[in-house]
Amino acid sequence: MKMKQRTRRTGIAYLIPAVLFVLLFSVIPFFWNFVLSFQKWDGFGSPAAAGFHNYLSVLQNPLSRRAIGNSILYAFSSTFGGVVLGLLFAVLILRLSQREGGIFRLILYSPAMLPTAVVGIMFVFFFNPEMGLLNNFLRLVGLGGLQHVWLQEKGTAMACIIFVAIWKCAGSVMMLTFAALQGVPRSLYESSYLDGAGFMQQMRKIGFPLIKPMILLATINTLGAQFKSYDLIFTMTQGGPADLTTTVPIVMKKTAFIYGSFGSAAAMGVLFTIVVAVSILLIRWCLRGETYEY
Amino acid sequence: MNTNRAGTWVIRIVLLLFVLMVIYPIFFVLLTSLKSTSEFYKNIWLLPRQYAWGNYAYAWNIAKIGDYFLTSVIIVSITVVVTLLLSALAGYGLARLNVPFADTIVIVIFLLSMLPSESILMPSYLLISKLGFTGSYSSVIIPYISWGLPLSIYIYRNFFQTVPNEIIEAARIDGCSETGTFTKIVLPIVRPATVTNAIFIFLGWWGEMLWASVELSASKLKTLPLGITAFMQSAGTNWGPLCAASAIILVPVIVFFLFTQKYLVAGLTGGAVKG
Repeated sequence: MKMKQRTRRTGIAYLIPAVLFVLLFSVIPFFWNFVLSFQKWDGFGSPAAAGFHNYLSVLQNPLSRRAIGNSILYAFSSTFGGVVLGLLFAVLILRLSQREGGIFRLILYSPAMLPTAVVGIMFVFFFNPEMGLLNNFLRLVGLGGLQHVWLQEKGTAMACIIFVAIWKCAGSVMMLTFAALQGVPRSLYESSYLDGAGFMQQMRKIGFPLIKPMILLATINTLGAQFKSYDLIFTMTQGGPADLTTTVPIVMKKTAFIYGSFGSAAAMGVLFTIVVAVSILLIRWCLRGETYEY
Repeated sequence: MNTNRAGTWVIRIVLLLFVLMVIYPIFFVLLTSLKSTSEFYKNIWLLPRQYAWGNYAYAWNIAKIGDYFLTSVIIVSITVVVTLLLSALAGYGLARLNVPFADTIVIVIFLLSMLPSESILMPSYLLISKLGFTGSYSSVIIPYISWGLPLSIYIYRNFFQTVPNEIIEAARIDGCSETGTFTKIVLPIVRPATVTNAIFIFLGWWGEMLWASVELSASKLKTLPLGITAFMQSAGTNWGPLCAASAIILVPVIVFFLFTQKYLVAGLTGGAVKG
């Protein structure tokens, strides 16, 4: 018993420094943000109570409504694309030899490692109308008519950004689901093979259901990451053309630091947190279902 | 599983197309970084005929990428070391040292690691300015440490739980102090967790922009991603030096990745249950 008390005291001592940091810059700001969202404050002077005024002004402002909508569109469509593509990679690589598959995995995972800001800049080159790779390639193969000013046109800007986001996030889904698929014992496939099931059927009926918890985990991880939209969009379009690709962090920064409306920015943060939490619960619910032991 | 040769080749070709899509944009940046502007306009696709190393000198000295590089190295290395130290201690406490309410604390930490930065951005800015740190190294390092801790603690704690209690007990019975047990016996066992966490912390902050742009907007101090976006906005069509600057931020990541990739799978699935 004495031993247990001694280790407990050491344990608490080990925990304290980390807890102090987390309290100071995560927990306190989280609650402060909540308080701030009910105040009217320009960053100077003293804050005044504002009730739900900030929330109303955020919800009535077309720009912040569009920002929230874009954040949701960006996060969900890039997550969907990333999960589908990542699963496809995992399944295809599963059919190759260990060594060859390893090389493909390494390369296809590499975009996930690159800093988002640099990925953004790389694709500004890629989509550049005159010297960019895409338009040059289209000219080269005689499809010059399909050229666009990709990042400045209304119809293409958001689609291009989502394409880049998928390019970047598919790799980690592949890593996670591949590891899980490898853990499924071969013997489970063998009897279905004897019954004449093809590879795709084996995956759909046996492989995917068995690794469903991992697919859920990969989807939630990706969604959480894709809600962070600042770096990519800021480097690619700065939210343009005409605020068409703007997202929550971009509008928030403007609201607080350019227009000096800290309360409204805080309210936007709270609303956004609710959106993220609800989205994650929604995905959990969509991918619910029984899990199998094997 | 059934395999046939034709099928394998179809798979190989499909994957190679994707590989091309992944590699070519990166390759293009490296190629362009070595071309002079006039050569770039004549020869977009192929290897440079004359290597224009001057682009790197221009980016490093005149665009000040060298200064930003140093700033980022200082910020990220301090962040990595301190985060690893604090999260290893906390993770060990939560996993093996009978801390009261450990399970509840772990759940709270897990939830905190999912918290979107938008929900704490403004108050953190106010807090930093109240502390008088605005625009300094600390204004970036301290928040980075705090925000990286939850995930790192969570991963460490899951790894520490796999260390058999018998080993820890044996060390204690042999008269080893708690600190000694931790540093000499337990930490070496969880080296994969340390590497994994180091990777995530390094990659997470090496390219971070949102917080750095809020905190350092009025400061002379700039991290690499901020410096490079500023350069992009001023450089216009000066593609060679701009690509050289991008290469300077990419190369450490690629090197780091090649050295640590074997730990990655363990790290990515660390904390996840068997699929």
